[in-house]
Amino acid sequence: MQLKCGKKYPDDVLYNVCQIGDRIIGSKYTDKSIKPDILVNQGYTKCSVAVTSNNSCITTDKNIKEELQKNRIDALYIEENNIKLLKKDGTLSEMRGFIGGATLIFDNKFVIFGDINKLENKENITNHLNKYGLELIDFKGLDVYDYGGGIVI
Amino acid sequence: MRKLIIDERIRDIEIEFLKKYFEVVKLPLSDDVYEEISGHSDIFYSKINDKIIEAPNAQLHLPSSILGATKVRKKISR
Repeated sequence: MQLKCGKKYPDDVLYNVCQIGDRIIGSKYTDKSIKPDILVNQGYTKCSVAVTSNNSCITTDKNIKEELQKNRIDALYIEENNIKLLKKDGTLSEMRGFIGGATLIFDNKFVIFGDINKLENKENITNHLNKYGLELIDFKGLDVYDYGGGIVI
Repeated sequence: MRKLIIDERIRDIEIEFLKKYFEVVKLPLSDDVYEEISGHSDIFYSKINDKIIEAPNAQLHLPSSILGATKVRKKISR
Protein backbone atom coordinates (compact mmCIF):
# COMPACT_ATOMS: atom_id res chain seq x y z
CA MET A 1 0.00 0.00 0.00
CA GLN A 2 1.35 3.39 -0.89
CA LEU A 3 1.24 6.05 1.78
CA LYS A 4 -0.89 9.04 0.94
CA CYS A 5 0.64 12.36 1.83
CA GLY A 6 -1.08 14.59 4.32
CA LYS A 7 -4.42 12.81 4.37
CA LYS A 8 -5.03 10.15 6.97
CA TYR A 9 -1.50 9.26 8.03
CA PRO A 10 0.99 11.01 10.25
CA ASP A 11 3.38 11.99 7.53
CA ASP A 12 6.17 13.12 9.83
CA VAL A 13 7.02 9.66 11.15
CA LEU A 14 7.85 7.90 7.87
CA TYR A 15 11.58 7.67 8.58
CA ASN A 16 11.41 7.52 12.37
CA VAL A 17 12.60 3.93 12.73
CA CYS A 18 15.37 2.40 14.77
CA GLN A 19 17.57 -0.65 14.60
CA ILE A 20 18.46 -2.92 17.51
CA GLY A 21 21.06 -5.43 16.42
CA ASP A 22 19.83 -6.72 13.07
CA ARG A 23 16.16 -5.96 13.77
CA ILE A 24 14.47 -2.89 12.38
CA ILE A 25 11.72 -1.43 14.55
CA GLY A 26 9.06 0.61 12.77
CA SER A 27 5.33 1.15 12.45
CA LYS A 28 2.61 0.78 9.86
CA TYR A 29 3.42 4.34 8.83
CA THR A 30 7.06 3.62 7.95
CA ASP A 31 8.12 4.60 4.42
CA LYS A 32 7.86 1.76 1.94
CA SER A 33 11.61 1.97 1.26
CA ILE A 34 12.14 0.50 4.75
CA LYS A 35 10.99 -2.97 5.80
CA PRO A 36 10.60 -3.21 9.58
CA ASP A 37 11.03 -6.58 11.29
CA ILE A 38 9.07 -5.55 14.36
CA LEU A 39 6.00 -3.32 14.13
CA VAL A 40 4.92 -1.13 17.04
CA ASN A 41 1.95 1.19 17.48
CA GLN A 42 4.05 4.27 18.16
CA GLY A 43 4.86 6.11 14.92
CA TYR A 44 7.62 8.09 16.63
CA THR A 45 9.57 4.89 17.10
CA LYS A 46 13.12 6.25 16.98
CA CYS A 47 12.17 9.20 19.16
CA SER A 48 10.90 6.76 21.78
CA VAL A 49 13.88 4.40 21.84
CA ALA A 50 17.48 4.83 22.97
CA VAL A 51 19.39 1.78 21.76
CA THR A 52 21.94 0.61 24.33
CA SER A 53 23.32 -2.58 22.75
CA ASN A 54 22.51 -4.98 19.95
CA ASN A 55 19.79 -6.46 22.15
CA SER A 56 18.68 -3.73 24.53
CA CYS A 57 17.21 -0.26 24.76
CA ILE A 58 15.51 2.31 26.97
CA THR A 59 12.07 3.37 25.83
CA THR A 60 9.45 5.90 26.91
CA ASP A 61 6.67 3.90 25.25
CA LYS A 62 4.95 1.01 27.01
CA ASN A 63 3.74 -0.74 23.85
CA ILE A 64 7.23 -0.63 22.40
CA LYS A 65 8.56 -2.24 25.56
CA GLU A 66 5.99 -5.02 25.32
CA GLU A 67 6.62 -5.70 21.64
CA LEU A 68 10.38 -5.74 22.11
CA GLN A 69 10.17 -8.03 25.10
CA LYS A 70 8.11 -10.46 23.03
CA ASN A 71 11.12 -10.48 20.72
CA ARG A 72 13.51 -11.12 23.62
CA ILE A 73 14.99 -7.63 23.54
CA ASP A 74 15.83 -6.18 26.97
CA ALA A 75 13.76 -2.99 27.00
CA LEU A 76 13.80 -0.71 30.04
CA TYR A 77 10.55 1.27 30.15
CA ILE A 78 10.65 4.68 31.77
CA GLU A 79 7.90 7.25 32.22
CA GLU A 80 9.76 10.53 31.89
CA ASN A 81 8.21 13.98 31.99
CA ASN A 82 11.32 16.14 32.08
CA ILE A 83 12.61 15.91 28.50
CA LYS A 84 11.92 19.17 26.73
CA LEU A 85 11.32 20.19 23.13
CA LEU A 86 12.23 23.53 21.59
CA LYS A 87 10.34 25.92 19.39
CA LYS A 88 12.00 27.32 16.29
CA ASP A 89 13.30 30.33 18.19
CA GLY A 90 14.94 28.08 20.78
CA THR A 91 12.46 28.78 23.54
CA LEU A 92 10.78 25.88 25.35
CA SER A 93 7.73 24.22 23.88
CA GLU A 94 4.97 22.84 26.07
CA MET A 95 5.31 19.50 24.26
CA ARG A 96 7.19 16.68 25.93
CA GLY A 97 10.29 15.15 24.36
CA PHE A 98 11.40 11.54 24.23
CA ILE A 99 14.43 9.57 25.38
CA GLY A 100 15.58 8.54 21.89
CA GLY A 101 15.74 12.13 20.74
CA ALA A 102 17.50 13.31 23.87
CA THR A 103 20.40 10.89 23.51
CA LEU A 104 23.19 9.83 21.19
CA ILE A 105 25.08 6.56 21.52
CA PHE A 106 28.54 6.09 19.98
CA ASP A 107 31.84 4.43 20.91
CA ASN A 108 30.36 3.00 24.11
CA LYS A 109 29.28 6.49 25.18
CA PHE A 110 25.70 7.31 26.09
CA VAL A 111 25.28 11.06 25.67
CA ILE A 112 22.31 12.78 27.27
CA PHE A 113 21.67 16.27 25.98
CA GLY A 114 21.39 17.87 29.40
CA ASP A 115 21.92 16.87 33.01
CA ILE A 116 20.76 13.39 34.04
CA ASN A 117 19.93 14.85 37.45
CA LYS A 118 17.05 16.67 35.75
CA LEU A 119 15.40 13.36 34.88
CA GLU A 120 12.98 11.48 37.13
CA ASN A 121 14.52 8.18 36.02
CA LYS A 122 18.16 8.94 36.74
CA GLU A 123 18.67 5.79 38.79
CA ASN A 124 16.90 3.44 36.36
CA ILE A 125 18.87 4.84 33.45
CA THR A 126 22.18 4.70 35.29
CA ASN A 127 21.60 1.09 36.33
CA HIS A 128 20.75 0.12 32.76
CA LEU A 129 23.86 1.85 31.40
CA ASN A 130 26.02 0.06 33.97
CA LYS A 131 24.46 -3.25 32.98
CA TYR A 132 25.57 -2.67 29.38
CA GLY A 133 28.92 -1.07 30.16
CA LEU A 134 28.08 2.31 28.67
CA GLU A 135 29.79 5.50 29.78
CA LEU A 136 27.35 8.26 30.66
CA ILE A 137 28.11 11.71 29.24
CA ASP A 138 25.84 14.53 30.37
CA PHE A 139 25.97 18.28 30.77
CA LYS A 140 25.68 19.52 34.31
CA GLY A 141 22.98 22.00 35.16
CA LEU A 142 21.29 21.91 31.76
CA ASP A 143 17.70 20.91 31.08
CA VAL A 144 17.43 17.79 28.95
CA TYR A 145 16.50 18.63 25.35
CA ASP A 146 15.20 16.36 22.62
CA TYR A 147 17.14 17.20 19.43
CA GLY A 148 15.99 14.14 17.53
CA GLY A 149 19.24 12.37 18.34
CA GLY A 150 21.83 12.60 15.58
CA ILE A 151 22.88 10.75 12.44
CA VAL A 152 26.51 9.65 12.17
CA ILE A 153 27.79 9.34 8.61
CA MET B 1 36.61 12.21 10.62
CA ARG B 2 33.03 11.02 10.98
CA LYS B 3 30.24 13.53 10.48
CA LEU B 4 27.36 14.01 12.87
CA ILE B 5 24.15 15.58 11.58
CA ILE B 6 22.25 17.21 14.44
CA ASP B 7 19.59 19.84 15.11
CA GLU B 8 20.97 23.35 14.72
CA ARG B 9 19.44 24.30 18.09
CA ILE B 10 22.07 22.22 19.90
CA ARG B 11 23.84 24.17 22.67
CA ASP B 12 27.48 25.27 22.38
CA ILE B 13 28.77 23.13 25.27
CA GLU B 14 27.30 20.03 23.63
CA ILE B 15 28.83 20.88 20.27
CA GLU B 16 32.23 21.43 21.87
CA PHE B 17 32.11 17.93 23.35
CA LEU B 18 30.93 16.31 20.13
CA LYS B 19 33.60 18.09 18.08
CA LYS B 20 36.20 15.90 19.77
CA TYR B 21 34.73 12.93 17.93
CA PHE B 22 32.87 14.31 14.90
CA GLU B 23 32.70 16.99 12.32
CA VAL B 24 29.41 18.43 13.55
CA VAL B 25 26.97 19.48 10.83
CA LYS B 26 24.01 21.51 12.00
CA LEU B 27 20.73 20.50 10.41
CA PRO B 28 18.74 23.58 9.38
CA LEU B 29 15.12 23.86 10.47
CA SER B 30 12.47 22.79 7.98
CA ASP B 31 9.06 24.36 7.38
CA ASP B 32 7.60 21.01 6.30
CA VAL B 33 6.98 19.67 9.80
CA TYR B 34 5.95 21.24 13.10
CA GLU B 35 8.55 23.43 14.70
CA GLU B 36 9.56 21.24 17.63
CA ILE B 37 10.86 18.53 15.29
CA SER B 38 11.88 20.80 12.42
CA GLY B 39 15.60 20.17 12.96
CA HIS B 40 15.39 16.56 14.08
CA SER B 41 17.59 14.28 12.02
CA ASP B 42 15.49 11.25 13.00
CA ILE B 43 12.49 12.76 11.22
CA PHE B 44 14.27 13.20 7.89
CA TYR B 45 16.81 10.34 7.92
CA SER B 46 16.92 6.68 8.87
CA LYS B 47 20.09 4.69 9.34
CA ILE B 48 19.68 1.01 8.59
CA ASN B 49 22.69 -1.30 8.39
CA ASP B 50 24.94 1.74 8.04
CA LYS B 51 22.98 3.00 5.03
CA ILE B 52 21.18 6.30 5.20
CA ILE B 53 17.66 6.63 3.84
CA GLU B 54 16.66 10.24 3.49
CA ALA B 55 13.31 11.90 2.94
CA PRO B 56 12.99 13.51 -0.50
CA ASN B 57 12.54 16.84 1.27
CA ALA B 58 15.38 16.46 3.78
CA GLN B 59 17.23 19.73 4.36
CA LEU B 60 20.65 18.31 3.46
CA HIS B 61 21.33 15.75 0.76
CA LEU B 62 23.78 13.25 2.20
CA PRO B 63 26.22 11.50 -0.14
CA SER B 64 25.50 7.80 -0.77
CA SER B 65 22.08 8.07 0.81
CA ILE B 66 19.05 6.25 -0.52
CA LEU B 67 16.07 8.42 -1.35
CA GLY B 68 12.89 7.48 0.49
CA ALA B 69 9.58 7.19 -1.32
CA THR B 70 7.60 9.90 0.40
CA LYS B 71 8.16 13.42 1.69
CA VAL B 72 7.69 14.06 5.37
CA ARG B 73 4.96 16.55 6.19
CA LYS B 74 3.05 17.94 9.09
CA LYS B 75 0.77 15.56 10.89
CA ILE B 76 -2.73 16.28 9.67
CA SER B 77 -5.57 15.09 11.84
CA ARG B 78 -8.44 13.10 10.41
